[in-house]
Amino acid sequence: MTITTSTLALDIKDLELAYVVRGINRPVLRGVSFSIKPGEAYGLVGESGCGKSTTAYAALRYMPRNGVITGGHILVDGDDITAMNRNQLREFRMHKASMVYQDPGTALNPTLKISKQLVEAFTILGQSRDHAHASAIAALQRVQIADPDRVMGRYPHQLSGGMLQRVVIAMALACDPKLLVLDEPTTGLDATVEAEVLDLVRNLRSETGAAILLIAHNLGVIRSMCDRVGVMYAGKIVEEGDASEVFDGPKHPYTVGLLRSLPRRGMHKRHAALATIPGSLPVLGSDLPTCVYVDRCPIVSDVCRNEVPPIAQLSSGHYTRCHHPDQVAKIDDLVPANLRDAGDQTVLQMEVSKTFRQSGHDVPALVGVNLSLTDGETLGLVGESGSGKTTLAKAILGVHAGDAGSRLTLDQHELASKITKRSTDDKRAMQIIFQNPDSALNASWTVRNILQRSVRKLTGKNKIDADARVAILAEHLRLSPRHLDMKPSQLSGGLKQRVAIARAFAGDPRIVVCDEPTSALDVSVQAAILNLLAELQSEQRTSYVFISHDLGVVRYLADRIAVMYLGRIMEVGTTDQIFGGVNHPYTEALLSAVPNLDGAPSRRIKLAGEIPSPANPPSGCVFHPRCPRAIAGLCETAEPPVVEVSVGHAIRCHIPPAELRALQSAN
Amino acid sequence: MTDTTNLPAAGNEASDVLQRSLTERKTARRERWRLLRRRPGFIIGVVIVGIWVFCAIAGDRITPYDPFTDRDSKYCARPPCPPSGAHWFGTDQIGRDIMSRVMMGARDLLLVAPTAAVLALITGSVLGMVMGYYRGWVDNLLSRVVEAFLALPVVMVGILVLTLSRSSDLLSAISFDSRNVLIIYVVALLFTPIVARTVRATVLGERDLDYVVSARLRGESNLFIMTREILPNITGPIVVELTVRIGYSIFTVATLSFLGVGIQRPSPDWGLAIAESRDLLPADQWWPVTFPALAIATLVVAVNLIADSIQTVYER
Repeated sequence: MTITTSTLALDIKDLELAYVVRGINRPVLRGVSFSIKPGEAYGLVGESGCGKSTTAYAALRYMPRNGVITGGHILVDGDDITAMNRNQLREFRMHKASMVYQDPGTALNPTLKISKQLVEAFTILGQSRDHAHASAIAALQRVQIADPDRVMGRYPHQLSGGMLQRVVIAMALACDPKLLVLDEPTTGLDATVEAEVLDLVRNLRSETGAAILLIAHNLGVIRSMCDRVGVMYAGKIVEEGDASEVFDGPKHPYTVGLLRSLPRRGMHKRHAALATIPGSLPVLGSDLPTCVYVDRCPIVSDVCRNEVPPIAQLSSGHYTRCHHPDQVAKIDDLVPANLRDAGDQTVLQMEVSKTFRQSGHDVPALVGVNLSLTDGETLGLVGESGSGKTTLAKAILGVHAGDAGSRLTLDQHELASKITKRSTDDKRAMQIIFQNPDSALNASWTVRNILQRSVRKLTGKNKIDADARVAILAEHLRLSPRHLDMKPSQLSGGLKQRVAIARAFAGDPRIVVCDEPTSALDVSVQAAILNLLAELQSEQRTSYVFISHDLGVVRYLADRIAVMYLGRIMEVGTTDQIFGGVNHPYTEALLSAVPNLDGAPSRRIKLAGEIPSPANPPSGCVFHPRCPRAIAGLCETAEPPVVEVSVGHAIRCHIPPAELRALQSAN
Repeated sequence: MTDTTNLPAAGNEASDVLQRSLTERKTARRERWRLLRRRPGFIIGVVIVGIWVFCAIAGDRITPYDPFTDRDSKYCARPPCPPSGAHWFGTDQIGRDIMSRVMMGARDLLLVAPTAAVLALITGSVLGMVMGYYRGWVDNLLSRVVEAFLALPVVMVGILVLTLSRSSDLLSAISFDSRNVLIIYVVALLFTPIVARTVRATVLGERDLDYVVSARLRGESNLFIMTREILPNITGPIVVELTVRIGYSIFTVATLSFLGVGIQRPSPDWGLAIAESRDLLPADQWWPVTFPALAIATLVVAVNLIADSIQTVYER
């Protein structure tokens, strides 16, 4: 091997990879080529099923048992790993490359202490036990774990997700790799934690000089982390270039579609519907003779159907595989929305507290939550996990009853606290759309049965009328009749979520709780679902309680937003008030943690520590231990008052709004 | 899971659509069946069990001799006679043809053991579902009872119950068939707690899934949720449990028969036959014991081969 300064950290050349299904090769990667220089960060984006994870795993030659490389080469630090035997491959993975997986909880062995697992990562490299122990402590310090000795003695389940991901990163860096592959490293984490992990990776990259291959479905993450990006579609890289060029001036219709389907630059449902990409990904392994995007492309022409598009070089390093890169700008702009505004008639008034009993201790999960909802309004609920968003949703729905003294008033009458005690009319008035349609739909029922049962149960219609109603629902949700006879497992994620929405709307509900309804979906599917929700709301005057950790989505869809922390409402206001001005310090930190898709650097406000256990909430203001603006001597002793900043905008903070405004505009 | 979307592109014709959805609905079951057929263990198991089931059904219509009479003892001056051209498996101590008795012996066992297993599965599933679904004090109470039962050695309880019922005056007039019914009840009772525990664990994993919450939100009754929502989703583990239980049940019934409290004379039951002839072993007269023992072994192994395959295919 010749060591030159130009040795690429990763060089994938015309990689073709297939999965063998019933003896037939089904191509998954169709000639993927890209390279990463030492110290460079490269991002792969694309929807699920496009081959980005397969590519990431292939970079270390991890493949499922039925995967075969049918062509091309993978060079890591100059070595061709496609030609290696078992021992060479082991040696290579030991010293040259590492991987960080999506779920740190499953990447670590739950039965072994962190120390054992981390020390092993060093003993494998030939270090003595004592040496390895010292290295492990150093590695934890390197990933900014403040108290390495304490963490070493813990089991994985005793650490938070963000902490675990740091440990996994520390392990991955043990061998001082030339290439670090990160596969959705922050997907399951809160935005605040995500921002910290990403900061850490950014720092480590400049510190170690390792090249990074980052896979993420969150385009903002890629934008903020990577120098260059490749956009993948159906096993091909359709566009590649500098991150700023690709995101600001996309030249492939697919990239344009992806970016347009995200709510950007303060877009709101009132202004425009989100752009969607019609159709769906080609079936894995199908024949794609010409342009892979031909069936979904808005600027398709005859030449696209007959010829493989050439690589169109746009500038150094920026290319697109499209016949008409010059026409990309002509792709229709956003469709103006025609939605009715929220009304001012109060539909639901809630005053809820909820205390769980856990092994003899009271755990207050909701503390005096006081909110109202008007007709046709969307109330966004945001906050880190553990802040009580889902508990509030379940209390509203009656899945678990609130504490004595809690009151839920629907259309001027009080609701029973438990679902079993509510009338059929009250049941049909409130429904939910869950995050994960896989578990939300009974896998052994057909779509028709699922919908029909809900219609009949909630409206009391007979079978014939229910059938008619199911047909109408399906049409509304753009489900074709053939989908009705399928089981959920035969539908794509987006279609499943449509079925779940159809079920929620079976009895013309007044209120629908949406619990992260799009976080399991790809961005183009998310756009379609969000548009659909907005349309349904406008037509039927349904109110939504919309829970999401994606502030971009909340900003797009919500009319009002409530920010929750440790079971308390810290701030409530209209979307414009929340995103436009004086904020509670917690809201301020949440907003600053969102990776910015537009590339403008945001000043991040770091929150110290993790969300405390609700079983033992901090004294005074529950947020004071993490608050960057806490006033010593006041915040830890006294509960803050709720201060009205302007009409409809309230903040629970000791700092007067005028002072907050001054502090926040100083940034 | 294999790729079910891998079907020809959708046509627009209504009949095509119908055909397609029908095919898709059957795909999962068909796929499982296809995987099963490819497993040699499954095939071997099915063939062996098939042979024994055939013997059990056909009974003395296909046995070379009458399994209950010693009319052929003239061929054999001093029974038991060793295997010969006339008696492939030899004869027992009163001159009955062992091969005929082994073939016939499958009948009672294959009636009693699987029936007991199915019964245990039904009662155990109901119990397990109630425990897993309601949790709380219902589960606590029933779990303690189940654990108490699990602590008892199966064979000891079997002997105790069956011996007591044999000696009791009330049951002394019991005919052979109702004796078998009694064995079914006893074995089913002994297996119920094990099934209940398995089903309970499975239900616990399902009951908090969103589809169950959704059913509650539209006001479904608990019974509906258990039988219509949850049950169809746990058939896999239940089928696996059934096949495993049948294997254990065969073994248990054979053991009880061997101990003299199970299937009774004059049935040519294998366990019974071993018990009756085991005194002959020290005299080097091995055949009256060996052939029934082999019969039990082949049946139990075959059932377990099937159980293993089904488990692998269901759990993938």
